[in-house]
Amino acid sequence: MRFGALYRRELLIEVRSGVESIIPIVFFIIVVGIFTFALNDLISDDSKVLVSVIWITTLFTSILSLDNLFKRDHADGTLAVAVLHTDALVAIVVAKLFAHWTLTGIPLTILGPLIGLMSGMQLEHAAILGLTLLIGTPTITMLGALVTALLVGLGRGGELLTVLILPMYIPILLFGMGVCHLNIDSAPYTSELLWCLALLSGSITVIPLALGPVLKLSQDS
Amino acid sequence: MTSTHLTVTNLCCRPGSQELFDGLSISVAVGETIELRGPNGCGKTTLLRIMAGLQQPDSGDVIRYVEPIGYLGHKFGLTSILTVQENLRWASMLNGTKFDTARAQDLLETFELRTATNKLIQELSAGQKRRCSLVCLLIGEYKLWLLDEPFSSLDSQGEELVRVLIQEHCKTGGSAVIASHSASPLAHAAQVEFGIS
Repeated sequence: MRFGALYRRELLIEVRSGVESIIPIVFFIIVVGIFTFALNDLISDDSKVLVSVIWITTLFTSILSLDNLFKRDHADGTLAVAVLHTDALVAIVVAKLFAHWTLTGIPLTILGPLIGLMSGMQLEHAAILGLTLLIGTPTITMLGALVTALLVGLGRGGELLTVLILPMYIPILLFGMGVCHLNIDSAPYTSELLWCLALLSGSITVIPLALGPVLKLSQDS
Repeated sequence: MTSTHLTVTNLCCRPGSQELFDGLSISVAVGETIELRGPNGCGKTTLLRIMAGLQQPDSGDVIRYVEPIGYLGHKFGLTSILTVQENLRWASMLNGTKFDTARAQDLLETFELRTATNKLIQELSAGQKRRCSLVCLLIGEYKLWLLDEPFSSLDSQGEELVRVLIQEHCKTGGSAVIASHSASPLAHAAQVEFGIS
């Protein structure tokens, strides 16, 4: 199984789906922009507010983008074909998640610190924000994919996805934001950063393996 | 080399209050074609999905001696925003085989899809999509085919082509289980009649 070819295929699908793949990024910019205008005084006094806004908006953006992760494949029958290829399934799922992260997680990782800098955030604080998003966004994608896979066969998403997914995001949100807040307070943040890394390692190790059986199970509904 | 590709034993399926089948046992031998026939809602699709492993029976055993299985369901199994060629490459990737361009072109020629090679699936007619999904099945080089209404959307020429392909597949060590509504049953196939209880 050539992972590169699978990854290119998934990227191509995302790109050809057009507006659908851009909407989450536009949503992120609009929501952070609204908060920046509405909380202008608070943000200029304390960068922690902006960091929190960016992190929370990242979570909601991910929910918006993850809703469609397996839905199209389920609708056209390619998911049913894929789950029958047990040997290839992990590579297929990882390629799909990696492509999704490339087009959603990476832009958010770049846009978050950029918006921070434009709002007067110090370069060091923006850099740490970027680092936490770089670690946090793939973790968010992995956790979200697991819930999306559970719901795909039921034809449910949207509000149910939000309710199920948000509690799972709390640890990465707390540790990700915690690192940024401690950095702004000039306090040591190594422990929180290691927790972020632990969550990332755990999710990228376990979830791709779990997704195969979960997706197969989702066909039986 | 095994002489059987799949066996189901004492299969029972009761979705809700309806009983689709109970105590059903079928063995699919190498070179054999089994045609499942019956009215809508009698459980042909459910049986094929259980055989493929996409659905769990209420009781009974399914043993697959060959994997992966070539499954063609009601949905085409094609990505609509990719071209015919890109979908064929995907079919080849699934089995970890190198994409054979010459073979793909030959198959497209056989299925009269040569001119549609670079067209998006969403631009094709239902019959062309069905033909493309059959080409994907052939590219995958599966031993066991589970085909749900493979003749749907096809014209008489396409239907005849599929009949010939199934026959050739079984002659060359393959096997097939087919759910069909077609007025004329497959000549060489063992018939399993379903009824609604």
